[in-house]
Amino acid sequence: MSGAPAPPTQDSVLASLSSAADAARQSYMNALTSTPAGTDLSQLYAKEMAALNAWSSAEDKALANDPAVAGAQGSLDAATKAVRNDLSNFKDVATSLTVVDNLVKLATTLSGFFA
Amino acid sequence: MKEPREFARAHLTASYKVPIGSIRSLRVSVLVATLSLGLGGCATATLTSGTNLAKAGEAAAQQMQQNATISADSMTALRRAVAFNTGYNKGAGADDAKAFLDNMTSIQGRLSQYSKLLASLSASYSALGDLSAYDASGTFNSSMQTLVGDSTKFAAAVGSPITVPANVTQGLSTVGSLAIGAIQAQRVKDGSAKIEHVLKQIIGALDQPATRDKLVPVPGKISDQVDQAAIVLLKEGVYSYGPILDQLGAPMGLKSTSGSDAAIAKDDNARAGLLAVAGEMAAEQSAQLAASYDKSLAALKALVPMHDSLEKGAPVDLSQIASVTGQLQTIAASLQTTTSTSPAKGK
Repeated sequence: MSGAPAPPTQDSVLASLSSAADAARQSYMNALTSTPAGTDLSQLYAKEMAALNAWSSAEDKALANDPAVAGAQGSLDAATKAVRNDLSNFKDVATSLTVVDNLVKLATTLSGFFA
Repeated sequence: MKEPREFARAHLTASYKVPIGSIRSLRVSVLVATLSLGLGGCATATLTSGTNLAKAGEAAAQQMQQNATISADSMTALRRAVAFNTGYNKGAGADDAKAFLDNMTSIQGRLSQYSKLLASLSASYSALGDLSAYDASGTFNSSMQTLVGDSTKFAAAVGSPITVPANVTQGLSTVGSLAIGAIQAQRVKDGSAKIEHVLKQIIGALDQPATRDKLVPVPGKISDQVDQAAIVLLKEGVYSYGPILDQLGAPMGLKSTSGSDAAIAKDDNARAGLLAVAGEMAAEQSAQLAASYDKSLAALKALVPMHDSLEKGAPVDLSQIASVTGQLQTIAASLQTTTSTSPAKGK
Protein backbone atom coordinates (compact mmCIF):
# COMPACT_ATOMS: atom_id res chain seq x y z
CA MET A 1 0.00 0.00 0.00
CA SER A 2 1.48 3.32 -0.99
CA GLY A 3 0.28 6.48 0.71
CA ALA A 4 0.79 10.06 -0.32
CA PRO A 5 4.46 11.08 -0.48
CA ALA A 6 5.77 12.78 2.63
CA PRO A 7 5.66 16.55 2.39
CA PRO A 8 9.04 17.96 1.39
CA THR A 9 11.19 19.70 3.91
CA GLN A 10 14.09 22.06 3.41
CA ASP A 11 16.47 19.24 4.28
CA SER A 12 14.92 16.71 1.91
CA VAL A 13 14.92 19.25 -0.92
CA LEU A 14 18.56 20.05 -0.20
CA ALA A 15 19.39 16.32 -0.29
CA SER A 16 17.61 16.04 -3.67
CA LEU A 17 19.57 18.97 -5.06
CA SER A 18 22.82 17.41 -3.83
CA SER A 19 21.92 14.10 -5.49
CA ALA A 20 21.01 15.91 -8.71
CA ALA A 21 24.38 17.70 -8.73
CA ASP A 22 26.15 14.38 -8.12
CA ALA A 23 24.21 12.74 -10.96
CA ALA A 24 25.06 15.60 -13.35
CA ARG A 25 28.73 15.33 -12.40
CA GLN A 26 28.74 11.55 -12.80
CA SER A 27 27.20 11.98 -16.24
CA TYR A 28 30.07 14.26 -17.26
CA MET A 29 32.63 11.90 -15.71
CA ASN A 30 31.05 8.93 -17.44
CA ALA A 31 31.28 10.68 -20.79
CA LEU A 32 34.83 11.75 -19.99
CA THR A 33 36.04 8.22 -19.29
CA SER A 34 34.03 6.64 -22.13
CA THR A 35 34.94 8.86 -25.09
CA PRO A 36 38.15 9.38 -27.05
CA ALA A 37 40.51 12.21 -26.05
CA GLY A 38 39.45 15.52 -27.57
CA THR A 39 35.70 14.79 -27.54
CA ASP A 40 33.74 18.00 -26.89
CA LEU A 41 31.94 17.58 -23.56
CA SER A 42 31.55 21.29 -22.85
CA GLN A 43 27.73 21.26 -22.90
CA LEU A 44 27.62 18.44 -20.36
CA TYR A 45 30.11 20.35 -18.20
CA ALA A 46 27.92 23.46 -18.37
CA LYS A 47 24.97 21.39 -17.10
CA GLU A 48 27.13 20.06 -14.26
CA MET A 49 28.02 23.61 -13.24
CA ALA A 50 24.34 24.65 -13.39
CA ALA A 51 23.39 21.78 -11.09
CA LEU A 52 26.25 22.64 -8.71
CA ASN A 53 25.16 26.27 -8.70
CA ALA A 54 21.58 25.23 -7.81
CA TRP A 55 22.77 23.01 -4.97
CA SER A 56 25.38 25.40 -3.53
CA SER A 57 22.92 28.31 -3.61
CA ALA A 58 20.38 26.27 -1.62
CA GLU A 59 23.11 24.92 0.70
CA ASP A 60 24.32 28.42 1.47
CA LYS A 61 20.78 29.53 2.35
CA ALA A 62 20.10 26.38 4.36
CA LEU A 63 23.24 26.97 6.44
CA ALA A 64 21.95 30.48 7.07
CA ASN A 65 18.83 28.73 8.38
CA ASP A 66 16.54 30.01 5.62
CA PRO A 67 13.34 28.00 6.19
CA ALA A 68 11.92 28.16 2.64
CA VAL A 69 10.69 24.73 1.50
CA ALA A 70 9.13 23.69 -1.76
CA GLY A 71 7.46 20.97 -3.82
CA ALA A 72 8.61 19.58 -7.17
CA GLN A 73 11.02 17.35 -5.28
CA GLY A 74 9.46 14.18 -6.68
CA SER A 75 10.10 15.32 -10.26
CA LEU A 76 13.71 16.11 -9.46
CA ASP A 77 14.26 12.73 -7.80
CA ALA A 78 12.75 11.02 -10.87
CA ALA A 79 15.07 13.00 -13.15
CA THR A 80 18.05 12.07 -10.98
CA LYS A 81 17.05 8.42 -11.31
CA ALA A 82 16.85 8.84 -15.10
CA VAL A 83 20.39 10.24 -15.18
CA ARG A 84 21.67 7.36 -13.08
CA ASN A 85 19.94 4.94 -15.46
CA ASP A 86 21.61 6.69 -18.38
CA LEU A 87 24.95 6.24 -16.62
CA SER A 88 24.59 2.49 -16.67
CA ASN A 89 23.47 2.47 -20.32
CA PHE A 90 25.74 5.11 -21.81
CA LYS A 91 25.03 5.54 -25.54
CA ASP A 92 26.36 8.89 -26.59
CA VAL A 93 26.98 12.40 -25.37
CA ALA A 94 23.84 13.81 -27.03
CA THR A 95 21.53 11.38 -25.20
CA SER A 96 23.22 12.13 -21.87
CA LEU A 97 22.92 15.83 -22.56
CA THR A 98 19.14 15.58 -23.05
CA VAL A 99 18.65 13.63 -19.83
CA VAL A 100 20.91 15.90 -17.77
CA ASP A 101 19.30 19.00 -19.27
CA ASN A 102 15.93 17.91 -17.88
CA LEU A 103 17.54 17.28 -14.48
CA VAL A 104 19.19 20.70 -14.36
CA LYS A 105 15.97 22.50 -15.33
CA LEU A 106 14.17 20.83 -12.43
CA ALA A 107 17.06 21.48 -10.03
CA THR A 108 17.19 25.14 -10.98
CA THR A 109 13.42 25.48 -10.49
CA LEU A 110 13.60 23.76 -7.13
CA SER A 111 16.53 25.82 -5.87
CA GLY A 112 14.50 28.92 -6.63
CA PHE A 113 12.26 28.06 -3.70
CA PHE A 114 15.17 28.73 -1.37
CA ALA A 115 15.39 32.36 -2.49
CA MET B 1 73.77 38.41 73.97
CA LYS B 2 71.59 35.64 75.39
CA GLU B 3 73.02 32.44 76.78
CA PRO B 4 72.30 29.46 74.59
CA ARG B 5 69.92 27.99 77.23
CA GLU B 6 67.98 31.28 77.51
CA PHE B 7 67.82 31.60 73.75
CA ALA B 8 66.39 28.11 73.51
CA ARG B 9 63.78 28.78 76.21
CA ALA B 10 62.70 32.04 74.58
CA HIS B 11 62.43 30.40 71.18
CA LEU B 12 60.38 27.46 72.49
CA THR B 13 58.05 29.80 74.39
CA ALA B 14 57.54 31.87 71.25
CA SER B 15 56.67 28.79 69.23
CA TYR B 16 53.86 27.97 71.67
CA LYS B 17 52.35 31.43 71.19
CA VAL B 18 50.78 30.65 67.85
CA PRO B 19 47.69 32.72 66.86
CA ILE B 20 44.36 30.83 67.03
CA GLY B 21 43.70 31.40 63.28
CA SER B 22 46.98 29.73 62.42
CA ILE B 23 46.10 26.72 64.57
CA ARG B 24 42.78 26.33 62.72
CA SER B 25 44.60 26.63 59.43
CA LEU B 26 47.09 24.05 60.60
CA ARG B 27 44.27 21.69 61.68
CA VAL B 28 42.56 22.09 58.29
CA SER B 29 45.82 21.40 56.49
CA VAL B 30 46.46 18.31 58.63
CA LEU B 31 42.88 17.12 58.03
CA VAL B 32 43.12 17.64 54.27
CA ALA B 33 46.53 16.03 54.19
CA THR B 34 45.15 13.04 56.11
CA LEU B 35 42.20 12.79 53.73
CA SER B 36 44.56 13.14 50.85
CA LEU B 37 46.70 10.31 52.14
CA GLY B 38 43.60 8.18 52.71
CA LEU B 39 42.17 8.94 49.26
CA GLY B 40 45.55 9.10 47.56
CA GLY B 41 45.10 6.07 45.32
CA CYS B 42 41.60 7.09 44.29
CA ALA B 43 42.66 10.66 43.54
CA THR B 44 45.65 9.51 41.52
CA ALA B 45 43.44 7.20 39.47
CA THR B 46 41.02 10.05 38.76
CA LEU B 47 43.82 12.40 37.75
CA THR B 48 45.28 9.74 35.45
CA SER B 49 41.83 9.13 33.94
CA GLY B 50 41.45 12.89 33.49
CA THR B 51 44.72 13.08 31.62
CA ASN B 52 43.74 10.14 29.37
CA LEU B 53 40.26 11.50 28.70
CA ALA B 54 41.74 14.90 27.89
CA LYS B 55 44.11 13.39 25.32
CA ALA B 56 41.33 11.33 23.72
CA GLY B 57 38.91 14.27 23.64
CA GLU B 58 41.49 16.59 22.13
CA ALA B 59 42.34 14.04 19.43
CA ALA B 60 38.70 13.33 18.57
CA ALA B 61 37.80 17.02 18.30
CA GLN B 62 40.87 17.83 16.22
CA GLN B 63 40.23 14.90 13.89
CA MET B 64 36.63 15.97 13.34
CA GLN B 65 37.78 19.51 12.65
CA GLN B 66 40.27 18.22 10.07
CA ASN B 67 37.70 15.97 8.38
CA ALA B 68 34.67 18.20 8.32
CA THR B 69 35.56 21.82 7.62
CA ILE B 70 36.71 23.68 4.51
CA SER B 71 40.31 24.78 4.84
CA ALA B 72 41.81 27.71 2.95
CA ASP B 73 43.92 25.20 1.00
CA SER B 74 40.80 23.27 -0.07
CA MET B 75 39.15 26.45 -1.34
CA THR B 76 42.29 27.35 -3.29
CA ALA B 77 42.37 23.86 -4.82
CA LEU B 78 38.66 24.16 -5.73
CA ARG B 79 39.10 27.54 -7.42
CA ARG B 80 42.04 26.26 -9.45
CA ALA B 81 40.24 23.07 -10.43
CA VAL B 82 37.08 24.90 -11.53
CA ALA B 83 39.22 27.42 -13.45
CA PHE B 84 40.90 24.54 -15.26
CA ASN B 85 37.68 22.60 -15.89
CA THR B 86 35.92 25.67 -17.26
CA GLY B 87 38.90 26.67 -19.39
CA TYR B 88 39.22 23.13 -20.73
CA ASN B 89 35.54 23.23 -21.73
CA LYS B 90 36.08 26.51 -23.63
CA GLY B 91 34.28 28.66 -21.06
CA ALA B 92 31.04 26.66 -21.10
CA GLY B 93 29.07 27.16 -17.87
CA ALA B 94 31.37 30.00 -16.79
CA ASP B 95 28.57 32.04 -15.18
CA ASP B 96 27.32 29.06 -13.18
CA ALA B 97 30.91 28.15 -12.26
CA LYS B 98 31.48 31.65 -10.88
CA ALA B 99 28.19 31.56 -8.94
CA PHE B 100 29.14 28.11 -7.60
CA LEU B 101 32.50 29.41 -6.34
CA ASP B 102 30.85 32.48 -4.77
CA ASN B 103 28.37 30.21 -2.99
CA MET B 104 31.17 27.92 -1.79
CA THR B 105 33.09 30.90 -0.39
CA SER B 106 29.99 31.91 1.55
CA ILE B 107 29.48 28.31 2.72
CA GLN B 108 33.10 28.20 3.91
CA GLY B 109 32.42 31.29 6.03
CA ARG B 110 29.28 29.76 7.52
CA LEU B 111 31.13 26.53 8.33
CA SER B 112 33.86 28.46 10.14
CA GLN B 113 31.52 28.43 13.15
CA TYR B 114 31.74 24.64 12.99
CA SER B 115 35.52 24.83 12.93
CA LYS B 116 35.56 27.25 15.86
CA LEU B 117 33.29 24.96 17.87
CA LEU B 118 35.57 21.97 17.37
CA ALA B 119 38.64 24.05 18.19
CA SER B 120 36.92 25.19 21.41
CA LEU B 121 36.01 21.61 22.30
CA SER B 122 39.61 20.56 21.73
CA ALA B 123 40.84 23.49 23.87
CA SER B 124 38.47 22.51 26.69
CA TYR B 125 39.86 18.98 26.71
CA SER B 126 43.36 20.40 26.73
CA ALA B 127 42.39 22.53 29.76
CA LEU B 128 40.97 19.42 31.45
CA GLY B 129 44.37 17.80 30.92
CA ASP B 130 46.03 20.79 32.58
CA LEU B 131 43.54 20.57 35.43
CA SER B 132 44.59 16.95 35.94
CA ALA B 133 48.24 17.94 36.11
CA TYR B 134 48.07 21.09 38.25
CA ASP B 135 45.63 23.71 39.54
CA ALA B 136 44.52 25.22 36.22
CA SER B 137 40.98 26.23 37.18
CA GLY B 138 41.32 29.68 35.61
CA THR B 139 42.31 28.28 32.19
CA PHE B 140 39.57 25.67 32.37
CA ASN B 141 36.85 28.19 33.26
CA SER B 142 37.88 30.44 30.40
CA SER B 143 37.88 27.54 27.90
CA MET B 144 34.43 26.42 29.07
CA GLN B 145 33.01 29.91 28.53
CA THR B 146 34.36 29.89 24.96
CA LEU B 147 33.06 26.37 24.32
CA VAL B 148 29.55 27.16 25.55
CA GLY B 149 29.48 30.36 23.46
CA ASP B 150 30.66 28.62 20.29
CA SER B 151 28.30 25.65 20.83
CA THR B 152 25.30 27.92 21.17
CA LYS B 153 26.20 29.87 18.02
CA PHE B 154 26.86 26.69 16.05
CA ALA B 155 23.66 24.98 17.13
CA ALA B 156 21.66 28.06 16.14
CA ALA B 157 23.44 28.13 12.76
CA VAL B 158 22.42 24.54 11.96
CA GLY B 159 18.89 25.15 13.21
CA SER B 160 19.21 23.02 16.35
CA PRO B 161 19.25 25.43 19.31
CA ILE B 162 20.72 24.19 22.59
CA THR B 163 20.38 25.42 26.14
CA VAL B 164 23.16 25.24 28.69
CA PRO B 165 22.20 25.35 32.39
CA ALA B 166 23.82 27.91 34.65
CA ASN B 167 25.78 25.34 36.64
CA VAL B 168 27.70 24.41 33.49
CA THR B 169 28.82 27.96 32.82
CA GLN B 170 29.58 28.57 36.50
CA GLY B 171 33.36 28.38 36.94
CA LEU B 172 35.31 25.95 39.06
CA SER B 173 36.51 27.52 42.32
CA THR B 174 40.14 28.46 42.53
CA VAL B 175 42.31 27.89 45.60
CA GLY B 176 45.57 29.45 44.57
CA SER B 177 48.53 27.12 44.45
CA LEU B 178 47.08 24.54 46.87
CA ALA B 179 47.17 21.35 44.85
CA ILE B 180 46.05 18.56 47.09
CA GLY B 181 45.14 15.34 45.31
CA ALA B 182 41.57 14.90 46.58
CA ILE B 183 40.55 18.48 45.87
CA GLN B 184 42.23 18.40 42.46
CA ALA B 185 40.52 15.09 41.61
CA GLN B 186 37.12 16.52 42.53
CA ARG B 187 37.79 19.50 40.29
CA VAL B 188 38.66 17.19 37.40
CA LYS B 189 35.36 15.33 37.94
CA ASP B 190 33.44 18.63 38.01
CA GLY B 191 35.25 19.83 34.90
CA SER B 192 34.53 16.55 33.14
CA ALA B 193 30.82 16.87 33.96
CA LYS B 194 30.73 20.38 32.51
CA ILE B 195 32.40 19.33 29.25
CA GLU B 196 30.21 16.23 29.04
CA HIS B 197 27.06 18.32 29.26
CA VAL B 198 28.12 20.51 26.31
CA LEU B 199 29.52 17.49 24.43
CA LYS B 200 26.13 15.75 24.57
CA GLN B 201 24.45 18.87 23.21
CA ILE B 202 26.99 19.07 20.36
CA ILE B 203 26.50 15.37 19.56
CA GLY B 204 22.72 15.90 19.58
CA ALA B 205 23.04 18.69 17.01
CA LEU B 206 25.55 16.84 14.80
CA ASP B 207 23.58 13.59 14.92
CA GLN B 208 20.44 15.09 13.44
CA PRO B 209 19.92 14.02 9.80
CA ALA B 210 19.19 17.65 8.94
CA THR B 211 22.64 18.73 10.16
CA ARG B 212 24.34 15.78 8.51
CA ASP B 213 22.64 16.50 5.16
CA LYS B 214 23.94 20.05 5.29
CA LEU B 215 27.52 19.25 6.29
CA VAL B 216 28.45 15.94 4.64
CA PRO B 217 28.13 16.83 0.91
CA VAL B 218 30.33 19.95 1.06
CA PRO B 219 33.84 18.43 1.16
CA GLY B 220 32.80 15.81 -1.40
CA LYS B 221 31.72 18.46 -3.90
CA ILE B 222 35.15 20.09 -3.57
CA SER B 223 37.13 16.88 -3.99
CA ASP B 224 34.94 15.96 -7.00
CA GLN B 225 36.01 19.07 -8.90
CA VAL B 226 39.68 18.58 -8.02
CA ASP B 227 39.53 14.92 -9.08
CA GLN B 228 37.69 15.84 -12.27
CA ALA B 229 40.50 18.19 -13.34
CA ALA B 230 43.09 15.49 -12.60
CA ILE B 231 41.17 12.86 -14.59
CA VAL B 232 40.88 15.19 -17.61
CA LEU B 233 44.66 15.66 -17.56
CA LEU B 234 45.18 11.93 -17.07
CA LYS B 235 43.01 11.26 -20.12
CA GLU B 236 44.95 13.81 -22.17
CA GLY B 237 48.21 12.02 -21.33
CA VAL B 238 49.62 14.84 -19.19
CA TYR B 239 49.70 12.75 -16.00
CA SER B 240 51.20 9.31 -15.72
CA TYR B 241 49.00 6.25 -15.25
CA GLY B 242 51.80 4.87 -13.05
CA PRO B 243 50.19 5.42 -9.61
CA ILE B 244 46.93 3.80 -10.78
CA LEU B 245 48.78 0.88 -12.34
CA ASP B 246 50.82 0.42 -9.15
CA GLN B 247 47.70 0.35 -6.95
CA LEU B 248 45.96 -2.03 -9.34
CA GLY B 249 48.95 -4.39 -9.46
CA ALA B 250 49.91 -4.17 -5.79
CA PRO B 251 48.04 -7.34 -4.69
CA MET B 252 50.16 -9.30 -7.18
CA GLY B 253 53.35 -7.33 -6.55
CA LEU B 254 53.22 -5.71 -10.02
CA LYS B 255 54.63 -2.25 -10.73
CA SER B 256 54.54 0.16 -13.65
CA THR B 257 57.66 0.74 -15.74
CA SER B 258 59.05 3.69 -17.68
CA GLY B 259 57.38 2.21 -20.76
CA SER B 260 53.89 1.84 -19.26
CA ASP B 261 52.48 5.20 -20.37
CA ALA B 262 53.67 4.71 -23.93
CA ALA B 263 52.03 1.28 -24.03
CA ILE B 264 48.74 2.65 -22.70
CA ALA B 265 48.80 5.54 -25.20
CA LYS B 266 48.61 2.94 -27.99
CA ASP B 267 45.86 0.86 -26.37
CA ASP B 268 42.39 2.45 -26.28
CA ASN B 269 40.93 -0.39 -24.21
CA ALA B 270 43.64 -0.20 -21.54
CA ARG B 271 43.26 3.57 -21.36
CA ALA B 272 39.46 3.34 -21.04
CA GLY B 273 39.84 0.73 -18.29
CA LEU B 274 42.34 2.82 -16.34
CA LEU B 275 40.21 5.97 -16.68
CA ALA B 276 37.30 3.97 -15.27
CA VAL B 277 39.54 2.95 -12.35
CA ALA B 278 40.47 6.62 -11.80
CA GLY B 279 36.74 7.46 -11.73
CA GLU B 280 36.19 4.70 -9.21
CA MET B 281 39.01 6.03 -7.02
CA ALA B 282 37.40 9.47 -7.08
CA ALA B 283 34.04 7.93 -6.06
CA GLU B 284 35.76 6.05 -3.21
CA GLN B 285 37.29 9.31 -2.04
CA SER B 286 33.86 10.98 -1.91
CA ALA B 287 32.48 8.02 0.03
CA GLN B 288 35.39 8.23 2.49
CA LEU B 289 34.71 11.91 3.06
CA ALA B 290 31.11 11.10 3.94
CA ALA B 291 32.29 8.24 6.18
CA SER B 292 34.70 10.54 7.98
CA TYR B 293 31.79 12.57 9.33
CA ASP B 294 30.17 9.48 10.84
CA LYS B 295 33.49 8.23 12.20
CA SER B 296 34.21 11.60 13.76
CA LEU B 297 30.77 11.62 15.33
CA ALA B 298 31.33 8.10 16.63
CA ALA B 299 34.59 9.28 18.21
CA LEU B 300 32.76 12.09 20.00
CA LYS B 301 30.06 9.66 21.17
CA ALA B 302 32.73 7.29 22.50
CA LEU B 303 33.88 10.06 24.85
CA VAL B 304 30.58 10.05 26.77
CA PRO B 305 31.04 6.71 28.63
CA MET B 306 34.60 7.77 29.38
CA HIS B 307 33.30 10.91 31.07
CA ASP B 308 30.81 8.80 33.02
CA SER B 309 33.54 6.43 34.20
CA LEU B 310 35.78 9.27 35.31
CA GLU B 311 32.98 11.01 37.20
CA LYS B 312 32.17 7.74 39.04
CA GLY B 313 35.84 7.28 39.92
CA ALA B 314 36.15 4.19 37.71
CA PRO B 315 39.08 3.69 35.30
CA VAL B 316 38.61 5.11 31.80
CA ASP B 317 38.54 2.55 28.98
CA LEU B 318 40.63 4.01 26.18
CA SER B 319 40.34 1.07 23.78
CA GLN B 320 37.13 2.28 22.11
CA ILE B 321 38.31 5.81 21.50
CA ALA B 322 41.71 4.55 20.34
CA SER B 323 39.96 2.35 17.80
CA VAL B 324 37.79 5.16 16.47
CA THR B 325 40.54 7.77 16.28
CA GLY B 326 42.71 5.16 14.57
CA GLN B 327 40.05 4.76 11.89
CA LEU B 328 39.81 8.53 11.50
CA GLN B 329 43.54 8.78 10.97
CA THR B 330 43.38 6.00 8.40
CA ILE B 331 40.69 7.87 6.48
CA ALA B 332 42.65 11.12 6.62
CA ALA B 333 45.79 9.33 5.39
CA SER B 334 43.92 7.59 2.56
CA LEU B 335 42.38 10.88 1.44
CA GLN B 336 45.86 12.38 1.20
CA THR B 337 47.03 9.38 -0.83
CA THR B 338 44.15 9.41 -3.30
CA THR B 339 44.50 13.14 -3.97
CA SER B 340 48.17 12.88 -4.94
CA THR B 341 48.82 12.36 -8.65
CA SER B 342 52.27 12.01 -10.15
CA PRO B 343 53.42 14.00 -13.17
CA ALA B 344 53.91 12.03 -16.36
CA LYS B 345 57.06 9.96 -16.43
CA GLY B 346 59.70 11.19 -18.77
CA LYS B 347 57.84 14.38 -19.63
